[in-house]
Amino acid sequence: MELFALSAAEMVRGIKEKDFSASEVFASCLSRIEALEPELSALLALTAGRGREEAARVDGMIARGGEPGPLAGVPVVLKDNMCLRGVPATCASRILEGWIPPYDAKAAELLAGAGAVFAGKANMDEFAMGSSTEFSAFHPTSNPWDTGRVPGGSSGGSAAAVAAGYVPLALGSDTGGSIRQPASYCGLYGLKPTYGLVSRWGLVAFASSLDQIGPFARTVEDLALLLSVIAAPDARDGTCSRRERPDYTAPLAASSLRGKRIAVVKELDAMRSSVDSEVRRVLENTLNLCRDEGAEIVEVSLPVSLEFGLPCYYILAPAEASSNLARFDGVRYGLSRREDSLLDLYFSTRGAGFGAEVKRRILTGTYVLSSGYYDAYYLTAQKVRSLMKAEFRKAFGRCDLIALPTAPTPAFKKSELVDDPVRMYLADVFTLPVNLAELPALSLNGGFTGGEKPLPVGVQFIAPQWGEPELLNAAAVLERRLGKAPIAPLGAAAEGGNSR
Amino acid sequence: MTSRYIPVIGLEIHVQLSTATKIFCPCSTDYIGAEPNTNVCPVCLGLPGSLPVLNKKAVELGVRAGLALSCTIRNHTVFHRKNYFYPDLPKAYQISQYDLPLAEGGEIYIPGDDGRPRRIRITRLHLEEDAGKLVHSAADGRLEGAAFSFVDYNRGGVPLAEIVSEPDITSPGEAREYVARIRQTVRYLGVSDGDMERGSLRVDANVSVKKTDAATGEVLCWGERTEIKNMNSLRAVERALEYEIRRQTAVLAEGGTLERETRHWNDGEGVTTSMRSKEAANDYRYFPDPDIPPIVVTEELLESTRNSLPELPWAKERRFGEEYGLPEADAAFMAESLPVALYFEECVKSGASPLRAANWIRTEVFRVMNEKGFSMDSFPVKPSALAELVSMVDGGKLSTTVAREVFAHLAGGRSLKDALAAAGASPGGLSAEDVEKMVEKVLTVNGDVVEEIRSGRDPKGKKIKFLAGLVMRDARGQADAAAVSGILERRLKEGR
Amino acid sequence: MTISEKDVRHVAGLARLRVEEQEIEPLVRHFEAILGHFAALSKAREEGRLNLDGVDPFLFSEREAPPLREDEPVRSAVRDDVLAAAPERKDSFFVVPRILEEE
Repeated sequence: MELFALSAAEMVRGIKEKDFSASEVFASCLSRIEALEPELSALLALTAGRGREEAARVDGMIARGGEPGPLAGVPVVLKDNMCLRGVPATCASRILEGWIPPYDAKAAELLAGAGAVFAGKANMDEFAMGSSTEFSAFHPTSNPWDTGRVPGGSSGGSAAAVAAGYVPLALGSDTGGSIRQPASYCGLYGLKPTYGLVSRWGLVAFASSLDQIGPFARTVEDLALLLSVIAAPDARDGTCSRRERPDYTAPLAASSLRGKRIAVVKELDAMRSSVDSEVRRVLENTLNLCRDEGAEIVEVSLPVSLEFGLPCYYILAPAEASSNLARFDGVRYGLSRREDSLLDLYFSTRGAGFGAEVKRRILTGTYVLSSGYYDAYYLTAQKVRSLMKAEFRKAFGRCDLIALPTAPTPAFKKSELVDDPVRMYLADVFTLPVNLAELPALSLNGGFTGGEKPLPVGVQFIAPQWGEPELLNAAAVLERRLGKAPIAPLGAAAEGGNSR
Repeated sequence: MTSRYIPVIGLEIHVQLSTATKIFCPCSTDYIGAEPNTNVCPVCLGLPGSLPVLNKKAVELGVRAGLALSCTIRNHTVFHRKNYFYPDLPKAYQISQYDLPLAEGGEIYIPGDDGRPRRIRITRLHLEEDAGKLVHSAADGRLEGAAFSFVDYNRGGVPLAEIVSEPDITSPGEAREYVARIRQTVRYLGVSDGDMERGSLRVDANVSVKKTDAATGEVLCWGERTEIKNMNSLRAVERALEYEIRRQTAVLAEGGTLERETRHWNDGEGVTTSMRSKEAANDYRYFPDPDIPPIVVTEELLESTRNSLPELPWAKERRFGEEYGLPEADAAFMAESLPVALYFEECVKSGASPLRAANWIRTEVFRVMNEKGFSMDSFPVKPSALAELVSMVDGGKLSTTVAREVFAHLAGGRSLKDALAAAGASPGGLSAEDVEKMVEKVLTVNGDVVEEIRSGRDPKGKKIKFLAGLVMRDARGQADAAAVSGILERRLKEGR
Repeated sequence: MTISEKDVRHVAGLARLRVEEQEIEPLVRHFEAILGHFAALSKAREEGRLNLDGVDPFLFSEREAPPLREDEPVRSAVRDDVLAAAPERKDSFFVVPRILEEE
């Protein structure tokens, strides 16, 4: 097997045992990237030189008998809304084109400390606002399973990179489903941690009370490895919990789901018509597997979350975004349309620098916070949010995990929804309540659609606050039945790439 | 019916807190004279991905000030974002507080225009971050007409406490007193150095005038209020309000109406001029800052802060009057600043009479301080040394004139012993025997005058006085005048 | 909850966002769609299916109190990079064009 196709855990072991070097691994990944990027366009920046240096450093350390970190030599990709010092971070926006962060995100620091090697920055929807990566100001990304389709969003580039075998691990960010939905569309494991588990220092903020950085991987072991590295306290983030993190690799040993109660959601039934039949089938199948493995299937009710989560999110997220994106004004960094007056500088820069979807959200957000509307919209949405939290808490009194589809459909076709943003918002109906409730959730590949070009279909598991071990436990058990996430077969390159 | 126009004044005072670092990041607050944009970091520059973390000391100082102003301290206090665009605001929002501020419902007493104490209620005290500084390219440094402006973020993020009063203030004089008292309080507490010139204490006023029936006091109409900015000294506060009240009264008296607006005080020309109605146009869209969970002010912090509060100036003033019998002016002077008050009380504890000590401090100590540029904290004469000196004068062992000379030597750094010697005085003062000897000497040397006195040729006692003066001169003022006179008279009578 | 063009223009002004004439109408429709979803919420309240009485919008007491920082200065290394990236600068200042009174 080609080195790029190994899991992160296998790479770490192999490098440590000197079966191959970190430089060889990186070279293999780089070839893979160079072969497929013209077709996929998953990346906004390729840090080949830096990656080679870092890989060489890992090799040097191993040769000297040093203690390699838990991710030593593993190439990783970061979503382009995360700061990596000296490397452009554009958030896929013209307003930050060319901006080079002078500091590292906490997650990047932790990855570097663990010995990971940075391969590049991934494409995304502009400022993480979108569900298809089509709102990137630069170019769309293709789904490795069907290049005529979207990879999902907003972390589409990160998902495509892992699904295509560029790298075994990537970081994305999830505000309303932006890790889980692309994971579903690309057939991967994707995890949104509990709000406050991973530091947001160095993550360009979209909606501060909803954003979380999280891992993409093709195996549960890799997912747990990456989560272990990034889930650490950080005194620079006031919302990052100081509680002790458990050992996330421990649940990997789980052998069954005996004693676990997995809940289906009552309201899903009434939504049958908006959920693709293949998605329903895969969910059903996955639940059967859970039953097989000893889980008890129960039922919970989440009426507020499923009926009102969407409007609540599309009031609160844009509100916070409108404030977070106000700093982009052409004065200190980024795009600057110099004109005669300050006012023109602001209007021109922001008018030219932001894409249509970002503008829509900034305007909506400004409106719902404005004088006269704050109570009717923002405050009301916050109350709905509180109800949703209570609703989930009550549900978890009766179960250990809640199972839902990740997305109502498999990956949709490019351009299909780009002109109907509100319809595109519906793609997040099952994911965004989780962000509003600040809970952790994982999407795993439950199966594929039938037909000529099979498409991955994800299944989502939601756990109570700090319940990542519970999620990893279930995923580990299911992985034994469903298998690891495969690398997408891609055209001619695939044939060459996957040969022994 | 005659009308009376009564001013209604509320003041907003911003004080920069005496912390070493900014409110949400560890950059230094020592920005005066620093090169632009040197005390900056991702947080106070608002770089994408940066996050705020609150300075513990800022909370402590805010609580301290709140308690000193008799406010109730909230135990869960929330920071809000105040959203607006301006180049000195890098995030395009200021992190401030809105409806759940740190402290509320306090009061402070100030001397009213009639000398009687007036209670001014304090609505709230809250914490917020300062903005950066703008320098304009126009020749006169003003914004109007400047083609460019230059931005320096060194000051951005410095912690501020905003203290808002109820509109209880009824005259420019009271306003001045209020500002002076708040300034004195924050200095006393070590919360801020409250320097209006250097910008660590800033005042904005909200002033309106109500038209009342002079006879019944019934309010006939409320004038619209204006905000006055740019008053950079106590005097400016008073003058600006005087002007504005006159202006508003004139408009109302003519039956006109006033606009709610912001006006700028021009100290040079002595007028307020209208700025654009900035406040009306700005919709700040306040919402709780999601990056900062509510701050918990613990019982422990409240207790320890309460216990560490110094006695406040007005309480000290009252006590100095009651305990030490100081007259009002002296009590006020001694209580004005904490270092002076401490110096004074040390003197008294070391044995000086309070009245004498107060007198000496007000005159000699302050004179030397001003001449030589000392501060009270760096003053070279220890309170115990001053106390000894003052007691010697009190006990008649030293005349005031010589004591002043001794003091000058003390201020020059000498010990009391050396200073006394330098002034020609003896440390222990003169014994009765010494005085006798001196009188003896003078009588011997001035035999002719003695003769004249003994023969009754000194009806007005002038010659005795002359002799006494000689003794006193020899004694370098250390002899007690009454004792010298007594000894002289005895010796003269004795005929020896 | 009907949005007018005037509302959209007003909000664009608040957000310092230039919107071209042809963008206004689509924006009005977008607003209507979003706020229309929200209208479902109001309807549910009227019908008694959603009760928000007495619901705490912020649940502040459930939040972990944030860490407070010790008051010790730390020098940041970003200064030179930041000034180098400034769109327009003069010596160590950032430069902005004419600030007109209408701000």
